[in-house]
Amino acid sequence: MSFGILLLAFNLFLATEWGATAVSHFCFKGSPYAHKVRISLNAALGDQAYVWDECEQFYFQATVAYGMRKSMNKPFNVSDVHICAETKRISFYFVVTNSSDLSKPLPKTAVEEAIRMVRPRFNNAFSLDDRTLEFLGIEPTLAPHSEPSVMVWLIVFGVIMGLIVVGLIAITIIGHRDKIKKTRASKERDEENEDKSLSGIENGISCNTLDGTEGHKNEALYPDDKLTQL
Amino acid sequence: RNGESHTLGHGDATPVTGGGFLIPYAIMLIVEGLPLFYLELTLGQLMRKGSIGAWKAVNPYLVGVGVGSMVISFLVCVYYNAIVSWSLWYLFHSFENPLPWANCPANSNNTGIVEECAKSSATEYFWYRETLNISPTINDSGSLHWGLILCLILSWLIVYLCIIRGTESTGKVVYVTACFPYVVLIIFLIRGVTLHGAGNGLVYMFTPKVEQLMDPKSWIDAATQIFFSLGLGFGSLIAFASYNQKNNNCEKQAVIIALINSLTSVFASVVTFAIYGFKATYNYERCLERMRLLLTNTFDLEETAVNTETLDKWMSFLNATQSDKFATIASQIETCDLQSHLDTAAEGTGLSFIVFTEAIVNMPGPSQIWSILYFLMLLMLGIGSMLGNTAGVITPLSDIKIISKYLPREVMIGIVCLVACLIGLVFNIGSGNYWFSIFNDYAATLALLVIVLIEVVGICYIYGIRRFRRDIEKMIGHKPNWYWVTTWVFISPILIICLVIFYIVDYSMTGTLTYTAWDSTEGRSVKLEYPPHALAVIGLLVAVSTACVPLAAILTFIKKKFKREKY
Repeated sequence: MSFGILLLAFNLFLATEWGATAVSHFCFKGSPYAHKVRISLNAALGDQAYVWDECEQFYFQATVAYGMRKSMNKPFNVSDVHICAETKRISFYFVVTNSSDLSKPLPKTAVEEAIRMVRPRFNNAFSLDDRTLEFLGIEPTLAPHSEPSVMVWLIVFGVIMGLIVVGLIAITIIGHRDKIKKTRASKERDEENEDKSLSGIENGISCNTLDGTEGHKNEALYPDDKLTQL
Repeated sequence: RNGESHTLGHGDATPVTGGGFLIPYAIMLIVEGLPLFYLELTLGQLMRKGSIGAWKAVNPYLVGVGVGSMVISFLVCVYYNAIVSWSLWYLFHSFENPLPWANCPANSNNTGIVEECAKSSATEYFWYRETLNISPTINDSGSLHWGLILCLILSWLIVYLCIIRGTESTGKVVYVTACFPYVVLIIFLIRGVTLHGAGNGLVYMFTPKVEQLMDPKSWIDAATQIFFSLGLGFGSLIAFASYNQKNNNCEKQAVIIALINSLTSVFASVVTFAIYGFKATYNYERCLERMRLLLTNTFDLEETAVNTETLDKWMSFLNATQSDKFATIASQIETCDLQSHLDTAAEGTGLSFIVFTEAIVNMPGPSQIWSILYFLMLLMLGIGSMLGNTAGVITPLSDIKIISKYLPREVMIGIVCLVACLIGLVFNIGSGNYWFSIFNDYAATLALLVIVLIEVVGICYIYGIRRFRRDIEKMIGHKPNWYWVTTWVFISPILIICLVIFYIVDYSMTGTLTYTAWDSTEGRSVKLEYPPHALAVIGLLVAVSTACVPLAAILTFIKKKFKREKY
């Protein structure tokens, strides 16, 4: 019986050792099953950055397990998430194994799907965002392009175009009205001049030549072409 | 009155040929800008006609100078309104939240951002793809951009509205278009100098660079900058001065306006350099941050281990100790240099749109407000310049009796605007920006120098400097003093001849002419050579205005001979 107990203990011992070596089989830098995670606490939180210790690592494993549970609906545990190759940068690799069989790591695609599904919750759990909590290989999906900005500029354009056209029409109408007024006024002045011309004649010279309100250009002051000839 | 001249020039082309431009600029202003400005104003006030009529009165063989000025003004009208339409386009888009050039758009299946945008930057992508929809070379015509065409039509309608009532209404409009930019500049000055890194830009602006002072190209640039911002040679100064009172003191007016104009340019440059300094510092610090992150992530160092001061030491240490790992990221290593960021400040109108929108996006505070203010200011400056340019075309046209007899003034202005608008549609196709650069670089540079040279020589030697001085004495009461006379008779002509020679020598030394094209696959600009048909257009642009002078002289000679033979 003691031999049995010894065998059982030996088996368990072998199993954990076997498990550990099995995992290190899968979890290393460059492994086809491992994802690299990079965390930039300083960039995100500055002075209020917390220290990345074992507890935070445990939290990470728990959150990954949560994500796997949600995505695959299977009872994953914290012990199914294995972390290795930690650096001072705060970067590490992690592998997720099937809970029933320690020797079977899950393919990358399954893990990616799970992480993508719970990414916002993941970020919030650590007070980080897509930029400071990086899963290398899992790009965050971009927010959909905000829609018709074409409308805004066309509206402003339409407003200004409308104002200009209204201004042009107003000026044309005013100009037309002024012209009609001027022709009417000059017609009246012509009639007045006709009366005056009869009374203002002395020595046969009409006084009206000096009556205009606009100045006349005195041609003598501005030498013409013919006079500037060398 | 000041506004007319200030916005007559191309106030948006702030001299960003690097720091230390102030010295050539100031010297060119005193030796060339002021005297020629005074000369043109006096001519307009004396002859009381637009450029064609005024030069006809000086000497009938010189009427070609007036025609040449008018042609240059028309060419500038055609292409300059493209800048106004771009300002309108950006202004309308400034009302969106967030600004469309703040972030790269996502690609069609939302997996990442558009590749062209990822390789360049959001502001460059918005300029080259969404605003211009530019094609890879000048040979690919591409398609029409309807949004910009709408903006172009609107800008011509605005210009038409402002000039339709003649100089009385134009004068009032110019008060607005001249004062508003000052207000905006003051706001940006206060905002600009308080930005982090603005000091770097200002120091850069005020430190003279000896290599640049030795390079004749910077003197040519300063001279053309003065010509442009004062509006010399376009005929618009003559046009505006022709409406002056006969005994208006144009000497005082010329000095005041020219000085205010130049002070405004310097003021605008201070604001510009403060903002460039901010942008350059921001990009430099982002570059450092990128390098820091690259090292930290590749070598899995502690997050706070590398900072900006120790970056170089870490790099050499890691290169020495883990050289193979370092080699894997060697292609991504950039040397971050503040000077190089300041040097690539801005060349060309397009780059100033890109640079400023990038700076605005990163400025603290509501970006929409800054953007709206900035593009409203560009719009005012652009409209102001357009008013000057169109005056340079319309005033001489309305002096020609045949046209003014049969066409009412509004219709004539409408026809000019319509023709210019239709030709301007060329700049809205895929390769439009390349054609715009051709017009911008060649339509009004060499030809302008030649025309102004003929102007000065014409007044001093053909009309006679003594006669000119007597005319001025009759107008304002005293003769111009020795400074004006020496600069008119000797210094300016010699200087302009030197500039023309440098220009031609520079062209013949470099051989072919090149242009910068946008490579959408790489996300950066490349230099290409002009194809022969583009070179032909360039030659045509330069020739069409300069050839007016000899052609008109020959025509006058033939006409006189014909008249003499009649008798």
